[in-house]
Amino acid sequence: MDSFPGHRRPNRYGSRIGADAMPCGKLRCDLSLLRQGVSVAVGFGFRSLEGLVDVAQLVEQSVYEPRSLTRTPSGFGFTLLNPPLRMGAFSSVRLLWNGVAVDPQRAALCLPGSVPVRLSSVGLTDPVTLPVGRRTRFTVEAEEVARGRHQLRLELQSIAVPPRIWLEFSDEMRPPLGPPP
Amino acid sequence: MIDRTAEPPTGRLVDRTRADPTTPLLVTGLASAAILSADAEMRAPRETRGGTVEWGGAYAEGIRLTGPWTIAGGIDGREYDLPSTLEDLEAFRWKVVSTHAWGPVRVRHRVVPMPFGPGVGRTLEFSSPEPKRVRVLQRIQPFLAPVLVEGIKPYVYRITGRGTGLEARAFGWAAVLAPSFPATSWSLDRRPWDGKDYRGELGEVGIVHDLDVTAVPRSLTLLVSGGLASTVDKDQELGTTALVGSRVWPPAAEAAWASWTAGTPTMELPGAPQLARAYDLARSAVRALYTKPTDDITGLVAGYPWYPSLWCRDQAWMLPAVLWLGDRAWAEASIRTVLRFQATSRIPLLGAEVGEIPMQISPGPVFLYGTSDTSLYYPDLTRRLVDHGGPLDTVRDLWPHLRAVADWAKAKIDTTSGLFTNGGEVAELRDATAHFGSVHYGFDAVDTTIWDSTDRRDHAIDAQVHCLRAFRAMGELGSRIGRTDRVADDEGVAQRLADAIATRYTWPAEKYLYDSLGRDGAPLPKLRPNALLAVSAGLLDLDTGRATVVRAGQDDLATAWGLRTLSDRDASYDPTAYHDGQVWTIATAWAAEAAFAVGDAEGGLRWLGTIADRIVEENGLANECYRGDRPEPFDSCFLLGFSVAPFLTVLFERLWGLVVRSDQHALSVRPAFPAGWSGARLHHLAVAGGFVDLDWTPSRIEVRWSGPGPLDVRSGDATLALGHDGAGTLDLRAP
Repeated sequence: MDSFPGHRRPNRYGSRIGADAMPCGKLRCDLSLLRQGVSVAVGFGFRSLEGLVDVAQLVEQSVYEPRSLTRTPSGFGFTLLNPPLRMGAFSSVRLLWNGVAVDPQRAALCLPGSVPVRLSSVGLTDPVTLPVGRRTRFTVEAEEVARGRHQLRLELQSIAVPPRIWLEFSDEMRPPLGPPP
Repeated sequence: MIDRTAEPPTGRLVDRTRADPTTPLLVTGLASAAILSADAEMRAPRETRGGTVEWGGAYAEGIRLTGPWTIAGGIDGREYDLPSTLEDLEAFRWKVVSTHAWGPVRVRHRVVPMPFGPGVGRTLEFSSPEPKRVRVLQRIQPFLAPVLVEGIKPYVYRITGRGTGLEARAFGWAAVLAPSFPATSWSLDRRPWDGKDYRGELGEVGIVHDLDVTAVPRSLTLLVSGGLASTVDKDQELGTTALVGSRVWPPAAEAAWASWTAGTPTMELPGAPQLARAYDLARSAVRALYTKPTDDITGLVAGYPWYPSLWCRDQAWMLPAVLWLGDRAWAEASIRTVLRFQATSRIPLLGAEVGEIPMQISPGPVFLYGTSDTSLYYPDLTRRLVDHGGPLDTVRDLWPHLRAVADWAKAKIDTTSGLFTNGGEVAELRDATAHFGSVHYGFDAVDTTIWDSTDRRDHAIDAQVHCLRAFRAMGELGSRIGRTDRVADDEGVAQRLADAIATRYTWPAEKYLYDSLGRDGAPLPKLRPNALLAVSAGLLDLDTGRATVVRAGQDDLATAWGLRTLSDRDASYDPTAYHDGQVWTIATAWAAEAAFAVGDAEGGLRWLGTIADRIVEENGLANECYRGDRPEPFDSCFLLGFSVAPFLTVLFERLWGLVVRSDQHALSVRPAFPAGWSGARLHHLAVAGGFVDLDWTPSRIEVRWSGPGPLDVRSGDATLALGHDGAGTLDLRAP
C-alpha cells in the first residue's frame, strides 16, 4: 500500500487485492479506529473528532516529505520538512534502513543553506538543529538500492530532553530528482 | 509607616530607550497573545531545547497564526525599520508601545492583543511637521499550526481575498489579515498578488501601504485574527468588525486588567520589599496565563512561548493561587473545563483510560491523556474550591467526575505493593498508534510524572502524595455532601498511603526519602526534590521532616538560583537534562513550603527570596528552568505558571499561614514572619463571600471584615468573632 495515497497514481483495478490490501490485522485496526473515533465524537462532539483528524494530518504530512525518497548517484536520499516531535538541537542522529543501522560515516544531512554534515560528526559538542518549517535533506551512500518499498527509521537524541526520539516511515524508492527548475 | 512596594500603578514591566532584542516581551488577551522583543519587532529567536527557534508572532485560540511580523518604512528613498529607530519602548501585560523616528516622521507603534477575541492588532501612527509620503511594508510569515504540535509548521497554504484583506488557511486553521484601509499592494513570497485564489507553498505575505503624512496624526492598523478555521467561517466579519473597535482595545484591555487586579489582595512586606514586588509581578503573570480561547475552554495556559495551551497538571498547580487571588469563578470554570474532557471510555489512541483527566486540552477541542498524576490533583482542588467559598452544590454536580477519578486511581494501586503505580503510559500510547497512519514517531519515555523525561517507576513518592491527597479529599467532600457510602474506604486508602510514605520510603543513609520504589519494594536511590512534598503534606514526624529539609538544602541539590531536579552527585546528573539536573523554580517553591512546614521560617523565606529575585530580574516573567551548573535559563519557557503560582500559594499558606474554610465562615492566620519584622499587610483577601484586611505586627493582627455574614478569625489560641462589616484585634502575645 502506498503510504501517501493522495500522491500516487490511480490504482489499477484489482492490482492490490489480497493480503496486502486488506489484511485481517488492518481490518481490526480500522474497526478499532472507527470505534475510538465514535467514542470521541459521542463523548466530546464531532468538532473534537475533526480537530484531532486535523492534527493527525498535520503531523503525518509535515515531517517526512511525501515522495522525497529518491535515488541519488551515490545511493539515496529523503527530506524532512520539520523536526520530528522535538525542536532544538540533537547530539546524535542515527538512521536505520530496512531495519539495519546505516554507517554514520556514509550518511549525511544538509540543512538549508549549509554544507552536508555527516551523521558521524554530530555529537554533544557539535549538535545539529533541525529547523522548523525548512527542509533538511538526508543522503545515504549505498551500493545497491532496490526498487520498491523501503523502511526508514531516524533516532535522535535531544541535548535537553533525554528520551530518544524516533521517526519511522516507509515509501517507494523513486527515480533521482530532476535538476532544479 | 509601612512602605508600599507594590507594582507601579502603571503596571509597566519594561522600559527601554534603546533596542534590546534579547529581552522577550509577552502581551496577552484571553484568546490571543503576541510575542516580540524589546526592540519593538515581532521577532523572538530563543534558545529552545539547545537550538535556536524563532517564536515571534501572533497567537490566537491555541494556534500560532504567524511567525515573525516585521515592519519597514521608506521615506524619500531612505529605508527604516523599528529597532534601529527606537526612541522609547514600554511594555505592559496588555500592550507594548514604542516611539520611533523615521527621519522627520514620528512613528508611534502599538501592539495589542484583542482583549477578548482571537486576534492581535498592530497600529502605527505617523505624524510629520512637513508633508511626507511614507511607504510602509509589513512582512508576515504565515504559520497556522497548533502550539501543542511542537516544532511543526505547514508548508502549503490556501490564500484568498477577504474584503480588503487576505485569508490564509492550512489544514483546519485559518487567519485573516485585515488592514484598517486598503493596501497599496500585496505580495506572496515577494511576487505581486492580485487577490486571486492561490494554493501552494508560501513563506511570506507582504503588505504595502503608501500614506501621505502631515502634522495631523494618521494611523494604520493591521489585525491578524483567527485560529480555528471554524472561527473564521463562523464570523465572516472577523477582522473588519474588530478593526472598527481597534481604538478601544487598549483602554478595554487595560480596564480588564485593572478590574481583575482590583479584585485581588494587596500585600505589603516591608521586611522583604523584593518579595512584595515579586508578589505583584507573579500575580499579574498568573493573570497573563488566563485563557478563554473558545466558549468551551476556560483555564490557564501552562506558559510561553511553547506551552500556551491548557496542560491540566500545570493548571492544577496554578489554581490554588487563583483561589487565593480571589478569582473563584475562574478556578471553578477551569476545573469544569478539565472535567468536561474526562475520558468516559477507553481511547487507546489518545492514551485515555476511563475516568482519566487529559494531560492537555487545546481549542478544537483536541486533547491527549496519558499522564500518571494529572487526574489525581482534581479532587483536592475541588475541596479547595469549596474551602474558598464554592457552593456544595458544585461538589454534588462534580461528584460523579471525582468518583471516576478515584476509581481510576484505585485501579492503579498495585495489589502487591499497595502503592499507586506510575509508568508505562507512553508505551501504551505508542502501541495503540503503531498501526495507524504512514508516518510514526514518538519518544522512548517510560514514565509520565511531573518529571516526565526520566524513569521514576514504579511508585514515585510525589505520585503517592497526590494520590493520598485525592482520597483524603474524596473522604472529606463525601462527608460534606452526605455521600458517606465510600468515605471509610476513601479514608482507608489515604491512610494506607500515608503509612507507606512514612515508613517505606525512608532512606537512612541520606536522611532523606527515596524517590521511588519498585513493585518489588526495591528503592530507587535518587535524591530529588519531590520528597519535600511529603514533608509539606505533614506525612513525616517532625524530626524526619526537618532532616529531609536540611538534606535538600545541601549543595548537591540546592543552588543559589533554586533546587535541582537531581543531586549533582548522582551518576545520571546532567546540568542540561530537563529533569535530571536542571533547576526548576517549582522545586524551589516545594523547598520553601517544606521549610515553613517544619518551622524553618528563615529557610522558607530564603527560598521564596530566591524565586522573587528571578521574577523581578526577569521583568515579571519567570523562567521554567535553569541549568544545573549556572543560573542560566536553558530549554526554558520564559514564563511558566509553575514558576509563579506555587510561589504565590506559599506566600499565602505558609508565610501568612492562612487556612480558610469559607463554608464555616472561618479563617486561620498563623504568620511565619521572621524575628525582626515589624509589620505586614494583606488586604482585600476574598473569604466567605466577603473580604478581609489583615494588618500584622509582632504583637497583634488588626482585622477588618466586610462580608455578608459572620467570620471567625483565629491565630493560635487567639480568636476573634466578627459580625457583618466588623473589625477587631487578635492579640498575639501569650496570655
